[in-house]
Amino acid sequence: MKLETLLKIDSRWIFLAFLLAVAIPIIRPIGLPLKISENTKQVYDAVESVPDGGIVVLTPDFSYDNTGELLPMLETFLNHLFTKNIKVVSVSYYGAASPLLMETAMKSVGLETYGKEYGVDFVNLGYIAGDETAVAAFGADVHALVKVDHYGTPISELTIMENLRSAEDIDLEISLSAGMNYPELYLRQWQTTFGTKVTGGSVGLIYAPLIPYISSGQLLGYLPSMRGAAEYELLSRKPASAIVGMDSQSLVHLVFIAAIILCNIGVLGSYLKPEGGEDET
Amino acid sequence: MTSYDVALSLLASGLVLMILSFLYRESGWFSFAEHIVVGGLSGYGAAIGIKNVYYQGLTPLAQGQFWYILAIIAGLLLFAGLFKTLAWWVRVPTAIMIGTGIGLNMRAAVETQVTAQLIDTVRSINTASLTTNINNLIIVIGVCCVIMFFFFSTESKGALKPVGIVGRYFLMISLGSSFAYAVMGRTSLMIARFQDLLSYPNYYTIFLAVALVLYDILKQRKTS
Repeated sequence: MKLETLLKIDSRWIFLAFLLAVAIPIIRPIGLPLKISENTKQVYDAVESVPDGGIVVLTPDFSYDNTGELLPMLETFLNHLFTKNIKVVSVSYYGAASPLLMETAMKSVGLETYGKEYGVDFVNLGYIAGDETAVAAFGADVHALVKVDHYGTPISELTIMENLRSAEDIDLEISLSAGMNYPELYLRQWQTTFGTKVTGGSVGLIYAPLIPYISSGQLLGYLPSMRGAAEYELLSRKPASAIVGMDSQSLVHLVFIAAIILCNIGVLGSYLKPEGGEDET
Repeated sequence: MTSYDVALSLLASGLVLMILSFLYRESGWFSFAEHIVVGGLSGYGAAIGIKNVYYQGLTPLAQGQFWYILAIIAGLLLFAGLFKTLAWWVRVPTAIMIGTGIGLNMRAAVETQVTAQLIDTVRSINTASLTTNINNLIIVIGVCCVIMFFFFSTESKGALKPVGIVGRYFLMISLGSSFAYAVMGRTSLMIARFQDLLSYPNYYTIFLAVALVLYDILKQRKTS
């Protein structure tokens, strides 16, 4: 077999291999072990350290295209937060779908499951336009910026908003982000300015550049993609979709490594091939 | 699960399969689903925008906070670009947004993204843990070498050359790590879609999709 023929494989066979690696463990779970990292423990501890009756601001800054990575994370955070006596305020600075995704997560988690009440224990403030300006304004004076929640109810009528006046009242900010600028934005406008603790999770694509902020202690841990969500589900003893997906994740990574090795062997074969000659290997 | 939920679920999984059909080959099904996504998200985005203007701008104005008129005028001026004679006025709200944005950003950017990171590079290599010492040493060497790689005032030769080369290797490792995280993220998206597709009643749409692909393969064989 000529090694360079490996480079001519129809890409649809690779797609099929990925498809099988994803689908088979979903149909028949393998139960591969999952180790909880120090980073995830740090995020968990940050949530655990919120005082009784404290306020957590949850900012789901992502859209439908990232639900696979961040919706399980959002749900696992909500599940953990609602087991405690913590007030959860949801607000998004990323357009379009975020408030609707919060509704989807809330339908799945269910306020009534935990005996919580909308307006008292949880509020969805929806989307606020303005990025950096909006985050800074929210941090300085929440009531001057936000007049109504996502459903048009004046925030003056919501008990939960009585004790949230500025970023100084926030005990923990949980940022779920699809864009690099969002965690940095909360660090700039809330953490550095008001000393607000920041943690959360992001999509895999932007995770690596955020690691220096974890290392410096500016972010109190940060969950990477579905893996982070799975570890958190395991740690909070509430297994859900992320854990189920981790078998597929591991298998796909093996297929990916195999594809990289085969491609490199193919490239090596094309280098070794003598010009104009047939190199039968 | 009501029949309404079943219908919605089948519609959603059908659209996912239409998009995935691109992996097999480009078809009308893919374009159809693609247009629905673009149209749906644009419509939803517009609705959220209008809602924001109503609650954040018009409502306070109606309650007597007249200074909000300035923000509304600035917002309207963004549309001046649609008219050739008025296009210049776009610069006014743009300047306000850029000025405010940069001002707010710079207020804390130095401390958040420079000072705090710089302080974090001052690490002890004399802790009780050997692995921590090694990690700390790698971080300090890595940061210094990468910064030297981007030092352009002197030609990279002599003692500076190997430092720059080490910096380049650190950068490559960093890019490799970013790429691996990107693969993990994209895989997660695929897994989530398949978790949906393989659940009830969505898996029925897979049989339909497989049948359509087989039909297409047979059709192509006949024509060739």
